Order: sequence, then C-alpha cells, then structure tokens
Amino acid sequence: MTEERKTPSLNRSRLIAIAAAAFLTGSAIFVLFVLPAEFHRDPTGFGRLTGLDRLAGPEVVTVAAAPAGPNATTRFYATAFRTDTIVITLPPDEKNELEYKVKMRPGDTLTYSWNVTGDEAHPEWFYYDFHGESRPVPEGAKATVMEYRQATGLNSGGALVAPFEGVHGWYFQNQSDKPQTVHLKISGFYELVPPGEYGNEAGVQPLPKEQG
Amino acid sequence: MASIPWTATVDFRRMAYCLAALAVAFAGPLPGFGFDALAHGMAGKDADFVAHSVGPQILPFFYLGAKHMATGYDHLLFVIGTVFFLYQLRHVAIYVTTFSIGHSTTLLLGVLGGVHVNPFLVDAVIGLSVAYIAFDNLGGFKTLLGVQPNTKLAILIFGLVHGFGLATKVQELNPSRDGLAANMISFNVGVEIGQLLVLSVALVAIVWWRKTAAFSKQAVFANAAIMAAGFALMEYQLAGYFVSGGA
Repeated sequence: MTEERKTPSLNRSRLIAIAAAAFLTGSAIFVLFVLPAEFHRDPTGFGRLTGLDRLAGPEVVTVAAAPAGPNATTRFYATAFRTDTIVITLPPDEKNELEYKVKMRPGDTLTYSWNVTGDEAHPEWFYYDFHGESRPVPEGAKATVMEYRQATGLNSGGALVAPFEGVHGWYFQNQSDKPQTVHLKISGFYELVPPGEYGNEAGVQPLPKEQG
Repeated sequence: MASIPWTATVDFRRMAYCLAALAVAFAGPLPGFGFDALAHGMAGKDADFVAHSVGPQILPFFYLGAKHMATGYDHLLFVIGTVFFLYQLRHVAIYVTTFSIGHSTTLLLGVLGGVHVNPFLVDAVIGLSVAYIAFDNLGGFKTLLGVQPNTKLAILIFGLVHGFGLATKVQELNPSRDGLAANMISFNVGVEIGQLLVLSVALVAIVWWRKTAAFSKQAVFANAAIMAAGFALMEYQLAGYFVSGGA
C-alpha cells in the first residue's frame, strides 16, 4: 500500500500521553461544561460556581391566567387579610352542637383547617356540616343554602370561594359521650359575625390575637 | 519535512475558487444558523418546513442538506480529520468519496427504508469516529498495536454511521411520504455539495498551514484537540442517551 497519508511518527510513550491528555481534556469539557449546561448535572460544583447550570433550566412557556369569573386564577381584595383561631368545646349533653360561620361576599376566599380532640378513638362520633346560607332579605323571603360537605371525622382542611353573599361555615355536633373540642383556624378575606348574630348565635369568640 | 507535491500545484486561480466557495459556504447558512439542544438537529422554521411540506421540494431539501452538513460540527471534524494528512487531491477525492458512499447509503436506507436507530447512540459513535480518525492521524494504531487498520475501510464504516446520524435528524421531523425519494436525493446531493464547500475551505487553510515551519508540531496538537472534541461529543451523546432513559 502506498503511503497516502503522511502521518507523523510519534514514539509510544508520547502517543499514549497525547491520547490520554485528549481523553482527559474531552472528559473535562464534558464534566465541567456540558453536564451542567445541557443536563443540569453538576458533579463538580463548577456549574453553580460559574452560572453554567442556569443554561439548563426548563424552557419557559407563558400561558394566560383565567382573567375573571368563577374560575379566575387570581383574586384581589381591598379588604384586610385576617387570621382567626377559634376553640369550641362541645359537652356530651344537650349543648353538644352549634354553628359557627363567617360573613363573606361573592368571590371572597378563605382557607381553613380544623381538628377535634377529646374522643380520638371514635372519629365517626363527630359530625359536621360545612355549608353557606344567604340572609333572607326582606324578612320572610327564602334563604339560599348551599351544602359543601356533610360528614363525620376529626379533621378537615381546605378552601372556600364564597358563591354568594351570606354566612359560610360549619355546624358541629359531638355524638360522643365525652366532651370534644374543635380547634379551627381560618385565614383569608371575610368578616367575623359578632356573637349572638345570625351565623354565630352561640356567641363564639375567637382567641385573642397573639402579640408580636 | 517531506516534499509536498500537491501544495506546489496550488495556484491563485484555484485559491480564488476556494475563497468563493468559502463565501458561499458561510453566507448561505448564516441567516438561518441555529444549533439544536442536542447534537445539531434541524430546528425552528427548517423543521417546520420539513414537517409541513408535501410532494417533491427539490431545491429546499438540497439547501437543507447543504446547510446541515456545513453547520454540522461532528461531520466536519471527521472530514477535516480525514483529509488532514492527505497531500494529493486524488487521494482527497478517494477518501472523501468513500465517506460519501458510506453516509449516502445509510441516509437513503434509513429514511426511505424506514430503518430507525437510536439518535443518541449513533451520535455517540460519530463522536467516537472523530476521536478515531484523529488517533489514526497520529499513527496511533501502528505505534500502539503494531498494525495499521485499513483507514479507508474505517472511513467507509464510520460513513455508514454518519449516514444513520443524518437519517435520524430527518426522521425526527417526520417528513411526508409524498415525494420523499426525490426530496431525500435532493437532501443527499445537498449534503455532498455542503461537504465539498467546507472541504475546499479546509483544504486551502491546511495547505497554507503546511507551508509554515511549525506545522508538524501544531498538526500533532491539532489532532489531539480533534480527539478531545471527539471524546467530549461521544460523552455528551452518551449522557443524552442515559438521561432520556435510552429512548
């Protein structure tokens, strides 16, 4: 075969050194640059140090938020944001039930969480009815009631976007033969019903706000 | 340094042709220049065009083939490695034709015959082919193993792999069956023309380079650098293979 390619002749050790250096250089480029920039893998920390890893962030697709209506993504309120903690003890006698609700206008939002202590062995002995009611105006007109959930259990949490103006909240009933205590936390945009008024006939007072 | 028969015959007219080729090769692809995230696939409006064109589109596919080759760094590194130490134009023609026969075969077979291979693994072998040709350029196999594997055979085999690489890029775009054969032949001719354009530029540069006193030392370094790039490309594609779950 004729020598078509005039390749340089290197001695064995130099060739091995060159090939090893080439492999190490290629691998260093791969580990230091390609891995963080293309795959967001950063075994050496070099990507974070240099900001290379930010190149591998996910592609951003901007989508429109639902602007308004019942499915609105965002809601904005001029009224103050508030948080209340309410503790209600229900004895195992004729006072074993009460209703606690808050005032909301259509679109007002709250999040809540509650749990019950006193007879943890029998979650089925604590009944609740989460619902909303419109105030009948004028007196004698029909009131609207919307049921959210009727169930038994020792805890619940979630969110509510008020469907209409009125009072929204819970009917709690202790069916156990022991006293049970409800620990309820509400946050969001709503107003408390003054004790004794419609929605809070039992006269429940929230715990005083923690200072600081 | 050995005598250089081919460089002696390079005259200004040929150089002017080559420079014109340079202008075409670079002015052509530049407006739509863009790298895909992995390897150098087709992206953006080129991809849209392939995905939405029905029937024969001779010149557009010709252009896409030329552009793909002219901007495909892995193919280019391999071609530059192939001609690096070829001193006669006749030999350049033989080696490059060998490579072209290889990649044309699998490009057409892959797309028209519907042969699917994993793009990451193909691109990893293409990276390996770059490292191989650079190692071979340094006489690596002869020095280390005592035998010289047939370089032309290696170029033919790697050519087949490069063709599958081209095929996967076209297949990703799911081209229409209508007019596919004509379009793929156009694409293939484009690939060869794009390769010729870049090759002529590379040859002009390398002929000038060979005339410099430092060439023999720099040539070793250059091939070491090509080898490093080949390894980096191979590892890049292997990582892509494992990250994508071998899909």
